[in-house]
Amino acid sequence: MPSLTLDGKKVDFQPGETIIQAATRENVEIPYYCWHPRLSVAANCRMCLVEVEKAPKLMPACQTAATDGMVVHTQNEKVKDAQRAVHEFLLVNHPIDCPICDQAGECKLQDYYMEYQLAPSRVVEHKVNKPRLEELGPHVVYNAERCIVCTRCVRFMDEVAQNPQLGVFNRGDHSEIGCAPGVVLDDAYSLNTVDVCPVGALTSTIFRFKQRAWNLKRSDSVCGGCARGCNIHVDQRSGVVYRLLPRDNDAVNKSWLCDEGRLTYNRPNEGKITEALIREGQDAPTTTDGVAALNKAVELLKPLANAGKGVAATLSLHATVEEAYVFGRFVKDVLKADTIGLVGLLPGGQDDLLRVADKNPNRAGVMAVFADMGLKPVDERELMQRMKSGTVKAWLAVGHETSFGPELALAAKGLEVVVHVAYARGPIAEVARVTLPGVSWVQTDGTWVNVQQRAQRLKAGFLPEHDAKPTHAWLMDIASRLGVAYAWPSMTTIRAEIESQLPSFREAKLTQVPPTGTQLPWAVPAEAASKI
Amino acid sequence: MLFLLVTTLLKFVFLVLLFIMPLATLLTWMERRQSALTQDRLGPWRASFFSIGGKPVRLLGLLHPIADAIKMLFKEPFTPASADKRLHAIAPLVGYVMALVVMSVIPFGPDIPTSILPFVSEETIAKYPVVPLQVVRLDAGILWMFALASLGVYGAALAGWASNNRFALLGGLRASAQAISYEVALGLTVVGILIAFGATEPSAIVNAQNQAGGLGLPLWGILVQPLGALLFFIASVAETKRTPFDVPEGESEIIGYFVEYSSMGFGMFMLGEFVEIVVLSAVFSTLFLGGWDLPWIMGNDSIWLGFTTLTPDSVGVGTFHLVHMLLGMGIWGAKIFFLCALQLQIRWTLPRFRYDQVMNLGWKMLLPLALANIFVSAAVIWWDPSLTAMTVLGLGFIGLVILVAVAGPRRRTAHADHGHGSHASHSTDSHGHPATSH
Amino acid sequence: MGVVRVRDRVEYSLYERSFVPEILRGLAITLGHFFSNAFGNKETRNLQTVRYPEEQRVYPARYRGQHRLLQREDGSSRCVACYMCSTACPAYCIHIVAAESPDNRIEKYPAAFEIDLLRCIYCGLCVEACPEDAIRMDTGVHTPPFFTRDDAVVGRIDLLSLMGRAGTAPAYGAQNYREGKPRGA
Repeated sequence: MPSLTLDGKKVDFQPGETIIQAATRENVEIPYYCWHPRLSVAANCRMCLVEVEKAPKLMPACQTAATDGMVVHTQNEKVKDAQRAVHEFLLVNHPIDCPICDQAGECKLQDYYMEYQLAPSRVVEHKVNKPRLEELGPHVVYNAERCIVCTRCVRFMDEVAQNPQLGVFNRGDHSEIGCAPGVVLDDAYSLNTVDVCPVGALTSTIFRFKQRAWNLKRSDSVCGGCARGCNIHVDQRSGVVYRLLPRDNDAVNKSWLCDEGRLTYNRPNEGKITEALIREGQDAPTTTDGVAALNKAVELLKPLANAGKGVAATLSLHATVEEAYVFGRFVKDVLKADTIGLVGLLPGGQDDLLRVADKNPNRAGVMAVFADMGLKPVDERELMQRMKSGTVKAWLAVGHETSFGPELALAAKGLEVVVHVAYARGPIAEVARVTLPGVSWVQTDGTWVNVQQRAQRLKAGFLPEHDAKPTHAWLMDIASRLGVAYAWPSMTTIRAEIESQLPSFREAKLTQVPPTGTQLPWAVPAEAASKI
Repeated sequence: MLFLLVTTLLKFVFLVLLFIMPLATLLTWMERRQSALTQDRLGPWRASFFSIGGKPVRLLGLLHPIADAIKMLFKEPFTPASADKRLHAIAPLVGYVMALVVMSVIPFGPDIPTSILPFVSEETIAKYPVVPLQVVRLDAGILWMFALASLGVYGAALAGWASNNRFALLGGLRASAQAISYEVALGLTVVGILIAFGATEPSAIVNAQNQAGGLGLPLWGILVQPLGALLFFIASVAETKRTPFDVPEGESEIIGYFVEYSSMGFGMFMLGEFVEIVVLSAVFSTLFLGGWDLPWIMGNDSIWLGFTTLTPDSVGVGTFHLVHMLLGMGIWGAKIFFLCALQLQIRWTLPRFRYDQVMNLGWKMLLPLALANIFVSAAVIWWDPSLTAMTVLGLGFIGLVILVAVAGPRRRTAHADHGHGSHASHSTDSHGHPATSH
Repeated sequence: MGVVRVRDRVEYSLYERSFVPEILRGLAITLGHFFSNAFGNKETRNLQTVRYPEEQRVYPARYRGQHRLLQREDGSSRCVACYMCSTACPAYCIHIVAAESPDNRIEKYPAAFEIDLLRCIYCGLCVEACPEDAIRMDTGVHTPPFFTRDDAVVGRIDLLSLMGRAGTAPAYGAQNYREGKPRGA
């Protein structure tokens, strides 16, 4: 294997790799702006200049191919001097308006200034004025003054989104990013340009000015926007989710996330209920104490529990595998419901990259659990039919994520008993006698199986507020009050039981899903393929 | 019988209502004003209930005790739900009452011949020739005094226990431990006095102290038993549970046995503390400062007033005894007041001891010294029963203490510790060893 | 770098351990204060008490009083809602809601700027942190008393209306060290 000498250390590399790739693998930090591991090399920011022996000038590490026997210095005085000079040059026309810049706190200009420059400005001339509030598209605002023209966004649109809506216009210190006349940055992946922007030039309208980056707390999760299950970071503060950002996963979404998925950031916030709702007569639901609501739910469900007739139980396709299993056990052991339903969102837009038509993130997982447990679910239309015909008299609705919410609510109006578990106040909560506050997927510890049959772990990013509890906890509470005590002290025990009880998950190793997920040994449907 | 009842009642009224309570109340004001002035502050001075000519009458803040009393009476007396209700209620009374009862054997003035009193029949005069200014004249007065004073600690212990609060309980335990430890030293130091004067009746001790001694000095306990006086004073301060011995109350750490008391319950504890100061000052003045008497000025049948000398013959028996009585009570009061002020000043001079230091001082310093005092005193009395030798020894001791305090060696301060070799003569202690180790 | 000096434990002599002379000396000091304050004349008295409502201490020029927000010349708030103050605040008493300013040259402004005066510890770190000189604590005013906790939360309008110590007008112009510096369109 060929090798080069990096700061006096011998480093092996694959033929065709560049210096920066070899250095990154060796944890030698070389600063860069324009280079991106998943984009083509532009070498225009010059931040990654390193000294290569026998080369007449400093070489850009991102572009220079590593060759056998090459001797590279990244820390010597010459390189440091170049980094200082390049950084000062990048900041010549930068407005330094960090107080009003959304990137502040996660800005490479700030980080590298502290690390590689740390010298006062010597600029006495007026800085070049450029447009500062250019709306490139519905989700992206461009500030040309802050832009260092690294062209990462241009390259992203060309190479990944394959929709070249952006370009560089003008020359020299007048150059700026923009769209050609008549073109709008309205691609379904446009917000990735904001992610790749190393400075505050591109900002997202959905996050702009909402919070400062350093106030946010980050947790790992999976996007619930469609069945692709892109890996995401959830950024929240005080229980309010402010944005979703892509998390690297080579097997699913690389470094990208579609705009549609990002816009689901508001699902955990919108109409969020953290206190139980209870409805008497025809009044609107009112908030009540969690224990009182639980007792009420038990009181309503008790006469039905063993009747085995006229009881419907539905689960949302957004439920995790663990919740689906607990739900299955609950309806079999406790409720003995004769109608099992699965509710979900209707298919939507799709493309060749990430988005798939199925907008329910865990259809594969829930279906597998139900199939293994011998539950035969009906869909919303059938459920409404049975409600109208009177075969269903009582309804336990777990999860509110369905496109048929208003219709279901209308059909359920005549039912005697409607008990609902949900994290947001939707149409079903308005007709339910009791609504128990659940938690959204960003607060849930669980597993989703995406369209590629890949099991991915959701992590509870922050604790439930007030009386809110995960769905399985509510179901276990109701079960214990109806005389069935489940011995599941933790999520791990539920997962272990799923592994041992359900044939589909026997090989799944649900208890040890790594951060990037596990591929399940199931047949992968054709529509799962992605060109990304 | 009626005569006894009336005179005892009058003595009681004077002692409790006209002397102890007002003095204790005054002490609450003094404590604050004295500490304030010691610390370059002003202290409470604002309280006023009325104004004259538009200016509020403030009387140097003397109205503050009244305001405090009104406030405390109208606060909610709160009892914790888990407390022992009855014990919680009576605990403040115990210490308070015991302290007052101790006062009953303290003589606060000279005996008055019954014959000078009005409305008294001949039989009564024959039956009771004198009225002692002492509520009870008990032969074993000193023992009675210490027996009841020891019961006083039940107040703190019960309060700590009944509050059902761990801090209160700790405070109560500390109070009991401390009181018991120091009572040993207290009792043993008194033995020296008992040996010297051969009496256990307080007024007899007072009279014995005011006889002229061999050196032309009175035989006051402080001259005869200076070490005993010092030990007794230290132990009595410890008995009052005041700084530097206030570990049972330790505001900054455990708050103390009265943490669960509010309103007048707390008020009783606070006032009880001041009553204890007064009582222990009275005991001290009785045992060591000659009680109500003042030698050279007050004699049994002459009072020297500087410009003239009063005798029963010159002014009449009735007037003489009236002046004698008032002067005696005044001198008694002045001595007590002085001792109270001294205790307050000590509180604002010394920091609090650690608990182990309190125990070390009580058991390892005071107790052995008190025992040594007994043996030395007994030996001296055996050698010279006239107390002259003892007085000489006592004066020698006092002189030594003063000499050492004034001219004793000084440790160099931290500033002088570096580079001032010329002060080397001061850096040795009394044993000639280098005082600081480098 | 602080230098740690280790001193050996001092062995006290018997004379010192008796403490009697030292206690007497201590009593002399405290009694000296007492008598010079209680019975002395004006020269010997050293009373530090300020009789508050009648006498009032003059605050030093840099006294940190209640906060105020400074105005631009058009009366709008100088604050750009950068959250520096709320980030620096050790008591978490500053709550800001940023919003897009209608004025394009400013971009960002505080739709809400609230200080919870009950939480505030008057450390002045917000003033230190402010990059726009928009918040100062130079009013020379104490925290006013409140009847409800909500009253203690002071909003943007109230903060803007407070005056500086001089009591004339909210300071702007000469004090703006950024004046004349080229910035933006």
